[in-house]
Amino acid sequence: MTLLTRLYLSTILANKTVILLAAGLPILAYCLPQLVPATLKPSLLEPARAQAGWILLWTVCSGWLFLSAASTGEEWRRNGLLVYAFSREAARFRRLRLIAGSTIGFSVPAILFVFGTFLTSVVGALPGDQKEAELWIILNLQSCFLYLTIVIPLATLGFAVATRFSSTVSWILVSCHFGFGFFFQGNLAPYLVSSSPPGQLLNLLGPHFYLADLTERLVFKMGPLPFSGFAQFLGYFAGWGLVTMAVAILIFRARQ
Amino acid sequence: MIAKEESKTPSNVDSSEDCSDEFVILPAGFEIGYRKKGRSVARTSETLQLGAGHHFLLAKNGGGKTTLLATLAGLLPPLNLSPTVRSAIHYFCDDLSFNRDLCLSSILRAFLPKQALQRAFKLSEILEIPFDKKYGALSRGNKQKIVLAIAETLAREAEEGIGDPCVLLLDEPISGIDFVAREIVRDWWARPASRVCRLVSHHPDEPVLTADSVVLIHQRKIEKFKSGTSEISWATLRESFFAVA
Repeated sequence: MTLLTRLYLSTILANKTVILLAAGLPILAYCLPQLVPATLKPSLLEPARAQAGWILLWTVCSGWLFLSAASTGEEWRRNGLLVYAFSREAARFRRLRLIAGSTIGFSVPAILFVFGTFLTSVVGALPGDQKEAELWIILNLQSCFLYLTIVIPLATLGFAVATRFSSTVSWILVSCHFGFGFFFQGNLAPYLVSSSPPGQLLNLLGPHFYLADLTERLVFKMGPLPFSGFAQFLGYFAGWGLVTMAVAILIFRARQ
Repeated sequence: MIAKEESKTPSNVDSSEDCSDEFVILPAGFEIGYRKKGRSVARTSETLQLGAGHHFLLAKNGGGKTTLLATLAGLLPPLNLSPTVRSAIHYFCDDLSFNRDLCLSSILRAFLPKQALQRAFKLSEILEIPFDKKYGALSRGNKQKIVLAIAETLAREAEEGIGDPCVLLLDEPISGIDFVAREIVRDWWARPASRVCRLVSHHPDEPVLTADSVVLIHQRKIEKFKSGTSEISWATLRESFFAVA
């Protein structure tokens, strides 16, 4: 582990938010469906848990994870840690190594959260039928991989933008980018931009993050994505991730 | 008494063969400053070499101390020639600080390899850094002492051959610490060194400076003075400082 990875992990453990969220997410996902009319029809309770778990996870990602990455970037630039870390690296690929070190740091809470959600979904909503249960687990694993492929590069981008500007600017920028791909592209774009050529181009070039949200398939027990479709989605998001990381490396700045 | 060091190598000559013991080499004509702003801060007129040991970096406020250290650390590109730094660099800038929720133990664990931790804790104890307080609750002096403990641990690990030889660039590390800690740190720095090169900038408010040499930046010139004895009197240095002008 690099200095930046160790420092990030020590910091989030010291301020205890990550522990609260890692414990709170599964508990909330398990308990929230009990508070809504889903209890009237007990068969709805299990898919509702999975739905609550994944919605909470996406909310936490745009809330806490991006904010944590952004505030870390700004703090490290201000307090000289990036300067020290920069001086420690060999001249070649310095930025890449520092970005990689911080990315590993952001990956840990993301993996922790997604693992908690996966467990909630599997333990709290696993179908009784063995075949269905297998498909349920595969679908949840697909959701995990897609989630991580989107969220980790975006957190890194948030970190890099904050090293150059500020955490507020960074969080707004990354959250808007995420929201655009997750909500606008998925829900509104087909209605608003279908008729205008610039809108169509924007829709084509914009990030289609909503494709990674497999909640609907979980709720309606539609089964996992076919392997070819999943590989295409994963490849598409990995490509977006690479572009995002490249932008992050270019934007990153160590000096105060 | 201090004397201006004579150049050992001719200008702009690759000195890799005859300066093998030197950790830092600033070639003649080496210029520091800000490329984007097109502003030159200072330059060397002859080749400067810093070997193992302790070297002070002195200049007036805004004279270029931090600019030189940042250039050596690779944070600022030199305006013309590149300096040669032969070992791993550790650049501790003057306002290096940590997250307020971290404790001393977490900071040391993040910065140092496992085998160096025991030594780091011992040095921290000598400097009387409170172990039980979070970083945010420490006084300014105690915060500064953490940086000194990390740097000294790295130096001792290198000296004993456990760690790699290193160049420690410290920007005003003793500003803010109490006189007892200053004495301790001064003793640490006075230890003979063969695998560590310390270049330490700070305000010349010490009555006696113990160092192998002094790098002085004055009137846009970077020059090196070495001491005939191990102690450099500030009064004498001051005379030289104005003599440079």
